[in-house]
Amino acid sequence: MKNTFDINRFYKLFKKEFKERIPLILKYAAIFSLILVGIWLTSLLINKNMRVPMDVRIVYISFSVFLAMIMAPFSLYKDYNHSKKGLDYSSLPASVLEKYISMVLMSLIIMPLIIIASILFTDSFIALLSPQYFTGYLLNETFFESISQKSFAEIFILPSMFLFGNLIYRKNKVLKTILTTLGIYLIITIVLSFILLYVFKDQMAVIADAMEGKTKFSIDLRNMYDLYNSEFLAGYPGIRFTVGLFALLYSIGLPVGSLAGSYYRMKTIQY
Amino acid sequence: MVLIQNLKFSYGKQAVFNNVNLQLESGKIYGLLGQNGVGKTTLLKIISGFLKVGKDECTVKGYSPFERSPLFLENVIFVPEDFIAPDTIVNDYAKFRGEFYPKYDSNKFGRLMNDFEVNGNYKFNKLSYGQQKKALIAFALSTNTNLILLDEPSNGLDIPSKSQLRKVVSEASTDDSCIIISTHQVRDLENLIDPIIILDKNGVLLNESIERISQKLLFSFASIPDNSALYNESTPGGYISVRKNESDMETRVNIEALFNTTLKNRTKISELFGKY
Repeated sequence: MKNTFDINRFYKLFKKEFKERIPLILKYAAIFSLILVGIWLTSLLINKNMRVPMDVRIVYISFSVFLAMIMAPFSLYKDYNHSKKGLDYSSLPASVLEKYISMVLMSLIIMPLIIIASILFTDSFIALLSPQYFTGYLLNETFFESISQKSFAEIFILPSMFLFGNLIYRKNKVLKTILTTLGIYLIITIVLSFILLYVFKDQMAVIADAMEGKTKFSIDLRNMYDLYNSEFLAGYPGIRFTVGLFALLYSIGLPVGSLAGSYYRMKTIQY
Repeated sequence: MVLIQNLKFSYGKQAVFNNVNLQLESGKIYGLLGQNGVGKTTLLKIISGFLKVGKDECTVKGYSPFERSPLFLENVIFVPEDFIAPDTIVNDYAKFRGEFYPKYDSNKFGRLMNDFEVNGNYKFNKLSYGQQKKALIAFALSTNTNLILLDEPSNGLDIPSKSQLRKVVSEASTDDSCIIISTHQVRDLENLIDPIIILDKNGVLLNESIERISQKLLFSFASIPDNSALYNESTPGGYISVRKNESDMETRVNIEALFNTTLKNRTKISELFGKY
């Protein structure tokens, strides 16, 4: 067990990781905060009628956190699979599981949290200085209500795939990972469309008639659960089962597969 | 310490090792010699656990290196030839990593950095290549691991640092430790490395102590080449000759001449020392 996971060793590793990577994380946090300051200065100096309501800022913070989570593996651990630069981290006397947990925590939790904290602090500061431009405080109940259980789970899907891509590809990591992710999404959508339109052809025709004029039937991977729970599918267990299966594949299969793949890759990587 | 049995390894279709056998013991400083591309760095990477081979083909103190278990890693340190410096202050690098090595000695690190005249308060990327390498060697030796693997350690070092390197490596050698140095610069490490391992594309050509080599081979210097010698090398002022030692006399081993002799007389050397 000590060879697989040791809490003291993990603490030492995490402490080392944190101290070595915090300057870079703070740099990113500063950049995201400065963009907010830039928006404020624009409304203050150039367009005095411009208001930056809370909704817009919530969209900004969501986008920033999402971007930070996607960027984190590439910026914090880009050298892990480098044939020369990767030797240092790989030879560190800690288990692969400890290195993996530390990497996931730093990329998917610590860096986004620090960026959120930095943006929220900057936003509160600006809102305090000029409430006429930055109306309301982001750090309130609405903000926490906007983080639903669904959005919290969804926010990990893409970053986990990007974590995996960072470990698989050695060159042009970002581009290859984006293309692979798009490819996977496309394949899932095409396969599901094929099943629905050809295997359940007759039933789909009936559903389409029933839906006509009420809503538009579209296959969007991000809204598969809504489709699954849709009243139109109530009488069609086969279609419902298929949609549910693909919803699970998207929301659980992809992130779990990516995280498991990342661990396996770390364990078997050669330099 | 290190046991290599029937080791096979290839990069794609290009075979590097085919049934290589080698046993490395504690208390010695091995010199790993070979021409470019014979697999010296590959061998060090296999022993360090960076490359995958069959489970029993390479073991270090009973551990299978590629499993990279922490108990194995805390006993091994590898200094690569091309070190790409992290964006870290040298002293912080040593401090944070040193905690993972049970026998790490921070005082020793400070002393070695002092001996090498490197300021550890700078970031790695603010130091010259040679200084970076010295800092890394100082850290590696301060970990006091049982197995120390140095790939071309004298590359990039200035003349005083090379003699300093010989001194610190020699001091780092204990009865419990095994040091393996891969090098092309045999003159830099003469009087330090013993035994000598010579690799070629067919495997291990030689793995012998200096004492046994001098019992079997005679190294001499004369103004004319020795026609009965296994190898003659022209040097300013005369010839270095290497021939079978058929007397009780032992001469000082010239490692460069030994290397060339071995490469040019594979069969004879094999007959003289046996197969590995």
